[in-house]
Amino acid sequence: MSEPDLPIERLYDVVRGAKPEGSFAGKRLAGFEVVGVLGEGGGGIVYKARDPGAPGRFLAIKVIRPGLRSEEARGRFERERALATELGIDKGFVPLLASGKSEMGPYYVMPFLGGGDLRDRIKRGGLGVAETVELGVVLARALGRAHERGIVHRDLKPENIFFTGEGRPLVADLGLGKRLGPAAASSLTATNEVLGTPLYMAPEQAQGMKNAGPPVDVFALGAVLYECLSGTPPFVGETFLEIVGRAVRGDFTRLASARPDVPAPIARVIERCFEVDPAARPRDGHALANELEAARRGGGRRPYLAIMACLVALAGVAFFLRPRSLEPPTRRGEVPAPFVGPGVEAEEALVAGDPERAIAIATSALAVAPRDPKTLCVRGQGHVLRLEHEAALADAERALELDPREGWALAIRSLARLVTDPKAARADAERAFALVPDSPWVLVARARALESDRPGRGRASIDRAVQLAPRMVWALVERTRVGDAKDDGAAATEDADHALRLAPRSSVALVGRGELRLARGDFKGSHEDLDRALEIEPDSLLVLRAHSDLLRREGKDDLGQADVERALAIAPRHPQILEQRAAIFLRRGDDAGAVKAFEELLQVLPDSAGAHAFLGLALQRLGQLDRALEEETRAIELAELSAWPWSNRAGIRLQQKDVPGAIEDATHSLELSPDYREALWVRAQAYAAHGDVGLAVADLGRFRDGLPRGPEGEASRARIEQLMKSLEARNPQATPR
Amino acid sequence: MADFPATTWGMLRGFQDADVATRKDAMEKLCRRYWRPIHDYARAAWARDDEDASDLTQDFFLWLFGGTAVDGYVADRGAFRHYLKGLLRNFGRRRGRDLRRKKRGGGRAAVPLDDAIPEATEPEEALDRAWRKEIMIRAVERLRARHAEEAPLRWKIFEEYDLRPEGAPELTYAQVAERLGVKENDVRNHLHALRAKLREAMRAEVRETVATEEDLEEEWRALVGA
Repeated sequence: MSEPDLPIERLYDVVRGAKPEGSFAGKRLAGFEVVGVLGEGGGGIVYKARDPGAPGRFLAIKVIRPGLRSEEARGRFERERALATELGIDKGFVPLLASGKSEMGPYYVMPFLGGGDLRDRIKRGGLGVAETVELGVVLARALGRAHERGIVHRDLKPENIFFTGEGRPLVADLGLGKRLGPAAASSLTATNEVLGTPLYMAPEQAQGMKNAGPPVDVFALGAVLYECLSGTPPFVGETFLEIVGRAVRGDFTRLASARPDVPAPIARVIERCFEVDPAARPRDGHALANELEAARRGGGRRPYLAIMACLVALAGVAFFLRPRSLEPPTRRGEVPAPFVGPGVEAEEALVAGDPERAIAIATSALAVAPRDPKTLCVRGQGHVLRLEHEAALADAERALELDPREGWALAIRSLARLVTDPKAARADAERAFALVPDSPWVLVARARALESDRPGRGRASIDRAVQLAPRMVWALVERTRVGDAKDDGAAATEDADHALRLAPRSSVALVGRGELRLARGDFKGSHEDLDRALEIEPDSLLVLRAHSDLLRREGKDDLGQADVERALAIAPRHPQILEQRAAIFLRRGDDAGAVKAFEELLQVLPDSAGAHAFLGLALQRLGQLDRALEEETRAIELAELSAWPWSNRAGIRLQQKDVPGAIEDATHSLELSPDYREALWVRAQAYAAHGDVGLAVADLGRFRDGLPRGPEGEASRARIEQLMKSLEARNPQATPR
Repeated sequence: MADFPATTWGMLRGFQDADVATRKDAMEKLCRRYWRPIHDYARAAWARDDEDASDLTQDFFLWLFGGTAVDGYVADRGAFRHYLKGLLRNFGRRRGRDLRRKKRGGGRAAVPLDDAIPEATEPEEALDRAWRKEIMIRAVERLRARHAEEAPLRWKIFEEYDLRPEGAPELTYAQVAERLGVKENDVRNHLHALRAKLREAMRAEVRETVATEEDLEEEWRALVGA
């Protein structure tokens, strides 16, 4: 619903009628100083309180919900307390530290877990396969330990899975838990009552709690893991009945299509958790853990996936291990200060070249304060650093709606449109610069925009950015790309190395140096950097594109194409990735494939001179000369000052026996770029065909002089000289230079 | 007020000793969150049309953060809303002549009666109205962010019943229940729970703009009248 539609006055009436809910400010609870509400669940409210024993640390205290103090609710709460006593941290559950009766009713005390809950984690974006499987194994083992004690959780969901500050997952909220066997007779919920969240609820549980055994938890955990991978629970719907109906029918999107990179054996284990017949699921937590482990051992579709999986898992752990200056922003019920907390932390991550983390923090912050333009900018910038231009554009546009003079947002829009609409991008960059001339983000964006106009123009802007933010990884990396910096040896190398010293695990820094090394022909060094970047951020378009480029230049086209296809699975219409794919086809000599790929690219980028020119080249090779000519002509219209399409068109005209036309185009090309060898070569052929042997020999002479030194050049040189001699022999008047 | 949770405004007030840049930055963010009320004030006080009001709002920001307007001026008591009005009045006084002329027609003709135009009281009412709306919009957003995904059914009920657009036909609990395939009592319970949360979300929103419990209660009374 858009804001103007909100029935403001009715809502005020509603609020006037609403009773205050557990107001906590300044409240003391069982002697603890309460500082906030963390959330609600299983009939209780969870407060955040200071830990009297450790300054600066916090506890979570659960009390029964006001208004729910019926006998039954009380019983449920007591049971949770009892179960939590039995299932401690060593079993994988959130431990019970103390309990008692307070003025607000019975309470029990748990540690406040600094790592947030799984809901936060999912909101920040899908989890990696390896990370999810590891999480699944640990949680399944925890449930298994409960199951072997005859305890069923019955309400497992992402909100009930918390992470310690070290990243260890723990199961919480046994409010619906029950003990099986003889003790069940006294269980308060051993009735036909339906409790729990339908999204993770096994069909038999939906028909009544008395049907709930360990397979209910297996079902729920399977659904949780499915959501970790695909972003949504397997069975969704508007109503309880709809959701449960889907579960009964087994109506869900297979992981193979929801998340194609999940190895089939792992998908099979997870999907087996959704069997309608409880007996067909893994028997209990331990059985599920065993199956996941077996699938993981033999589960890689490709051998390197297993290695990557481990690395991803390590990266995941590292994510939680990284020191944090502040608590994660979206513990339930907490209201983060919208700019002092996540804003600073996320921007720090950006400066350190860690866009993944910046995006994650910003996304969490936006869930609470969706109208903060700066946070939108942080996320947009993060997307830019991962080459996710559509997402970046969306964030920038939204930020600009909220604040049309947000310079950073203009800079992000500029970056996001640089490929598709360079003119508008340059205008945005200049406007951004006029608004905030001293923002390093804006300065780098402006440098990029100026560079796209003419290499070298961005120099002053990028130098200023580095001066203002000497620790900004992105600025350092971009400086290696300005003008002829790549060829300039020391300075660019120093920037790239410096960026990596500042942030050894930054994908941005690794790609920067990897590309620099590649430009200098250092394939081995480039591999070192780009392989590592791929390990750290396997789903980053930036990394995938750089990696595929390296492989293409090495001639490992198949592997390069695999990278590209993965990138396209993430962003099917990404122009730079489509370009990469087309280039691979072209290099492989698959001209038909190249034609198709360039046509696809042109759908996204209809005014790309390069794409038209390349398409012309591929068509020419296929012998479709008329179409090829059209494409080159279009390229010339779009980039009049580029020598290349002129030369291409000259070649086509020559093939069409339009010799004067070929000479004209090649001459034009050489006017634009006097030593352009392709044009010299075409014009020499055209002159020869025209009978101007002297001119042909002269062009060949210039062509020869431009050949590189070294053995390869020597061989060509010999061939050209032979050619010149045979031409001269036909026309003794010719006088080569 | 040691017990009062650190809030944006509360923190700012504590920032008296912080360096100017930090204070300005925090203040700017707070002002930007209340862009709409500022805009509506500008619209009522000085602007010819909405676009003009947007420009003026921007001018206000430039004046506020481009210069030294806030350097020495941090209120020692009261809510941010009052402080903001003070800032706007101040801005108006500084720029008064220009602004009134603008409203009268872009300063093309000499307007001899300029000084006879009284400072309107409506702008502050406009700010209060927009403020009231903004607080609710932000509170509903908070609520949506937390509940729309986590408790889709509860959110749906709230949306159908309490968030139905102004003028839409009134529904009974029973009708909502039937529509969503739940029991009437569920509708009642879920609504009750979310309404309480809406109240809390609003208070959290207001809390960002006050520094003490007393100010919170005062602002709350101004908003809700209870």
